[in-house]
Amino acid sequence: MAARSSTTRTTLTWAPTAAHYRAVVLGVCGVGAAVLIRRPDLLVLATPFAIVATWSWLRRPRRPVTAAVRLGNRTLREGEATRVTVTVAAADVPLATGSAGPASDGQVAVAVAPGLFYQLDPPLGVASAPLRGGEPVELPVTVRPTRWGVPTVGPVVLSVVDSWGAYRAGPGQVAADTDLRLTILPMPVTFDPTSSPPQPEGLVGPSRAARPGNGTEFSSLRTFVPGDRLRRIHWPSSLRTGVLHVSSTYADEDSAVVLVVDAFSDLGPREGIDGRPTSLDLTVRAASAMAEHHLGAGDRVGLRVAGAADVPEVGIGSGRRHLRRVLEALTVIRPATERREDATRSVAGIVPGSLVIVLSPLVDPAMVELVSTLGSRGLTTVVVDTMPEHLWGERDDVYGSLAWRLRRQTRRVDVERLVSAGIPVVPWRGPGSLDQVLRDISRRARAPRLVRR
Amino acid sequence: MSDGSAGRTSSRAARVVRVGHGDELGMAQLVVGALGIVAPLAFLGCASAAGASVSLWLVALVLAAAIVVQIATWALGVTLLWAMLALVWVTQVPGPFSWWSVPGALLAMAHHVGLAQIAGRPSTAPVDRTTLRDTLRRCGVVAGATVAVAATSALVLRLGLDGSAVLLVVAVLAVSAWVWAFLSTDRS
Repeated sequence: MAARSSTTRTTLTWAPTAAHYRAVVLGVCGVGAAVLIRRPDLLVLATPFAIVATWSWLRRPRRPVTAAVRLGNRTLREGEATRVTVTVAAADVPLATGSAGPASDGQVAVAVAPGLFYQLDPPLGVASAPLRGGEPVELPVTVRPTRWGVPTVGPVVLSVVDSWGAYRAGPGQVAADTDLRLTILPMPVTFDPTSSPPQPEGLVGPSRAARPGNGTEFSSLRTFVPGDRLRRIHWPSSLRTGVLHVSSTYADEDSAVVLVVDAFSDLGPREGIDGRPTSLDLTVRAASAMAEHHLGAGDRVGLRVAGAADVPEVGIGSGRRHLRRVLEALTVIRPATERREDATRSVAGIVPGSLVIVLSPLVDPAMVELVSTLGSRGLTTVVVDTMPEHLWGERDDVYGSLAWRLRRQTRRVDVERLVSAGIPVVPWRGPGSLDQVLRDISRRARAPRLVRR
Repeated sequence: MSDGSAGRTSSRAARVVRVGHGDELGMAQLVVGALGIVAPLAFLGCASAAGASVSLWLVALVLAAAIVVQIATWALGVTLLWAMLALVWVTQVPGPFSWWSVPGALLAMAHHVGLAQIAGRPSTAPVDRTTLRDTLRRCGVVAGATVAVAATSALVLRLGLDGSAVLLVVAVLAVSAWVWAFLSTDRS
């Protein structure tokens, strides 16, 4: 995945603090009162304030502070870390190179606001460092996203105080929210099925087609016809029969795989990559793994999302760039944002002959209807059940438990209805989840069937 | 895909404390907060040692004021608190001079500098060792100057130059500061 970094610059100006005014008032008034009432002990009491006020004024910073926020990689996988680096220097000092300008010592503090789905190091997102004579200071804060999506890091707040705390630049927000947006791709889970998609109908690819062609898997021996390649001549049978024979092969073709993601609901607490997955976590990670596998194998993959608005439709395509498109479309899913209750629009235009893999917890009735519609169209459809196991446990409250049991029974009826309609439903178990069902579909594909049109 | 940083963030715990529903506070903020309560009371102790009659109600008043100022993070309140304590000193401590004014002045400076260092920074921001060392060094310079003022005052009073003692001390200090600034200036 390509990595990009960006830089946003902000200038903060210095202003006296309340502490400086306090030192001035107590120092001046204390010394003045001591002179007026002739009390040397009051002079002693006022001396620290007078000295601090004078020292602060003599060493006051005269140049504004320039802060630049640099975000490391914007595109990450779940669990990977990137870095937000805040560079602070005097306004006329280049941030990239050091410069020994007039001293304006002090301290820089940066706070990156914590978020729900990323961790920070330092743990509270607060970093500080001394500022030395205008030399650029870098404060790195490590950000580790824990859930797929497009979170925005920050805001990043910067505060610079001089050595006595008498002058301060900030606190101020350094970068706008949109500048620190990350794209967190789903964590790659292992998916390595041993069986190929049924009915490959493309041009070239890894799967054995039903028709003979210029592939690698042996089909039959037949007599030589003009146009056959000479290296296909099978000499043992040709010598035995006295007629030239060639070994024919099946064609190798690619398959079209359409992933249909159910985003009608997101069941379970969102605990990120370090906790238990929600139903949508499982769905998105499984879809990501399938897309990576099939595109890596040379198949064509498309993505449709039902139940979520503003998700770009990813048509059938192949290659690494297409994989990036699929993954980025998965990251922008926001569940249950589609207002239309009918999800058939999201699966319009699926090419016949495609293998349709529906990833769904099968809780929303609209999704069950959608699967039935796909099956009735004659499309080869497989449902991958992405309901997390831990959600089946009993609940503490009586009514919630009862309602959940009723929902489970309804769901069981829905699943049985789909299975009886010839649509296999398999639970997501990682690698090999689809092996048996794809083999069964390949066998079934060779048999005649009745399709309602 | 990552930029070379660690795959996982470190697991070291953040040492912060949350009091009630307030902000989380780091160690430096807690120390300064404690100093904000202790320093005014210790100042009253210095005044008492210098000969002031500090009543219980005055201690309670100062304690309440210190707590209110601390909780409200009220900058003007800190100024008023120390102005009130200076007034207490002037009215209660028999003059014209006491060496107990030196620790009193240092307590006031410590509170002021501590508040100035943590003000405007995140409530959990730590103070790094370099900054702490530099701050202590500068405070040491100010403390030395304060002791010098006290010693000069005591010397002037011992020499019997009453009446214009404070003015004389101020003049001596001003000339000393000017000479020091003149000699430390790089004129090359």
